Amino acid sequence: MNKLLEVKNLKKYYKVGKNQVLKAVDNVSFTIYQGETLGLVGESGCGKSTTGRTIIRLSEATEGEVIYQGKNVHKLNRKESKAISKKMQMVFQDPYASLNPRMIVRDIIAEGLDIHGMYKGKERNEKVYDLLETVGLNPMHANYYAHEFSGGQRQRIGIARALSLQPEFIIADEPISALDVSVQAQIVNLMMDLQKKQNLTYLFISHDLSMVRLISDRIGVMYLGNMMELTTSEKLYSKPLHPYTMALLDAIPVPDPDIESQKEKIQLYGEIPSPTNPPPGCVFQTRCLYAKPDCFLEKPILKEIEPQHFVACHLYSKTALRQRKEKGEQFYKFIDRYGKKEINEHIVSWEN
Amino acid sequence: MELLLDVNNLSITFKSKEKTVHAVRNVSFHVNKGEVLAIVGESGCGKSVTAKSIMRLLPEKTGRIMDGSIMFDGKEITTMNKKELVKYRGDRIGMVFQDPMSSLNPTMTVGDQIAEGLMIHKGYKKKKAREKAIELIRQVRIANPVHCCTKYPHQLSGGMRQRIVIAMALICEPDLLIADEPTTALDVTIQAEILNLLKELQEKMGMAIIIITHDLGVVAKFSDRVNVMYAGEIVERGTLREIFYHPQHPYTLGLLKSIPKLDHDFCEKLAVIEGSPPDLSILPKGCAFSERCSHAMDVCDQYHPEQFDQSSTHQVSCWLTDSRASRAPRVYSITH
Repeated sequence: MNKLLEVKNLKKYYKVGKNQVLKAVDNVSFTIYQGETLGLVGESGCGKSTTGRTIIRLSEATEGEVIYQGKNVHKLNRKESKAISKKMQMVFQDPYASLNPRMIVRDIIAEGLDIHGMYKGKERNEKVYDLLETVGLNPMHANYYAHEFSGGQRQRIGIARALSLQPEFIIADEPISALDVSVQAQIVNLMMDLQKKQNLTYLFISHDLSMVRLISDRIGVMYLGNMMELTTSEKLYSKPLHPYTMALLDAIPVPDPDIESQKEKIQLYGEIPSPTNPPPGCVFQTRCLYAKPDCFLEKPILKEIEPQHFVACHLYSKTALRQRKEKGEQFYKFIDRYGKKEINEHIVSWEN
Repeated sequence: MELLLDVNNLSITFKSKEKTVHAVRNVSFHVNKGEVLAIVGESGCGKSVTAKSIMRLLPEKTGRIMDGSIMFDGKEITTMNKKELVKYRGDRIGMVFQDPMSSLNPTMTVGDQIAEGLMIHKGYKKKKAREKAIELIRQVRIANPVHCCTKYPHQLSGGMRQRIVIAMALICEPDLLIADEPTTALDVTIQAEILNLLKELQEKMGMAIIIITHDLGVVAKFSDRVNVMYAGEIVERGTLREIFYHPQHPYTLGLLKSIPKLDHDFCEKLAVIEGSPPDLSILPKGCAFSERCSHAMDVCDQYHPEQFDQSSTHQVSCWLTDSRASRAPRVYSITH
């Protein structure tokens, strides 16, 4: 697989008040391969949207590199960055706020084409009709204003706009969270179709873990500006390693009364600490059920524990794993979430 | 089971200059003491309007209860004057709104806001009301309630605010709590905590809850009975198990299929209900769902479906369940 985008030690700090710094994204690194979908999940305020916006340079990074096909996106001159913006596009969260209410759909979709001077006159119109059909709208809709559409239709217009320049990479920042359940499914299906047809690569940002699972090949879990776990979606849901991921998965209410009533509660208590004043050591230590002395002192680094499975947690440090092996004890119980209703024993343990 | 709330043939319309929207049409349901009823549906299906009408919170100028009755504990709510209403609103019926930021007063401390209800309804003095407020803040599991009491809404996080809103609704120990999308604005982890909290308090206080939501996961976790609403009508009602394991209405089935489950195959497409809900200013002649329904028959376009009993607790408004509809594919008997 070819690397399409590489994010290296990305940091985005905001100055708040006099001497406070808000670390929205703190030292995040990951790679996106050509043709895949990387999901980014986490609670609100965990920095997932900031990561997306910083990649596409809607906000400047404080530190770190974003390398797109060998070029550092943040060090390009104006001409080069215009060229790269053709390849990278974004779909926004709120389809009500992200479309200009004073423009007709034709001009909204063709705005990118106009900026890059790509099509004119009749060709431009045809391109717009084409795009509208691709996203499942009627070409007749080109002369309407955004307010005449429902939420799902508006999000389709947003997607058509993102597709207009034939990009390779699309950042979708919570594209479905403002929509109704039945419409969410429509939009996710559309995005999956488009990916196949046009060979797109997605960065799919969402807080809805069950939707992310459907569309993503790999998923990164963020917490308080840090990447906690990064692995394939299959592994993440069947064998999550980080205590935060486990708790997060467990918190999703399952639309099945039987499973729901049998569920063992791995609950998270308390709230996310303020990002202006993150706890020392591991950022999750304040809510972690398994925090041990190490966690208060040292910040865990994202490491590859198994092939393709990265975790930032002291429970999987070399010493902890070795001690577990020596003692050969302590199993962690985790409910099999695949509807089999059995309790799987994880072959994962730690020192007491 | 003792009947607490009985809504009969409720119809609500909204009038504007251009058109009249029939937001709720001929809706009947009841809530027994101490049970949890869920009302599910897409946005615009009339579920929030129904809830607001029970509290008589509809905008007076435009929204009007055209027909029907709402009986709460034997008293008619629709014809009450303001004085009588005060005895019910906030006292015997509490309400939790969706957006915790806009349902709190930004210029009052949260302690005062919680205590206000006691002072108005129960005639408590300020000091005593405040003590009770602090007690309740502790019950909704906020650390350091005495300190929290003196804070303003903007100083609290979303989860904390929603807990305050819940405390406010519960302060007079209502018989009925109406929770209108209580967790939609919150993160999953906070959502789980708030739902557990509500359930716990419900069992402790023995109150009834009407929970309005579009999240079927929340419904499965929380409720005893379910009403499914579509285009201003209740299309199917039943117990939790009846709705989830034996859905009879194609809309309920579609709704259940369109949510991703954690055992869904990777990269497999979701089932989708094509199209969108009808415009409620132009009433359809037959079934409102027939346009989107893959099993629609001729009769569906022409005649409004009757209500068919599946069991004493399970009713469906769909022609497919009529005994004459033998041609209809029995897809809906599939349990998933």
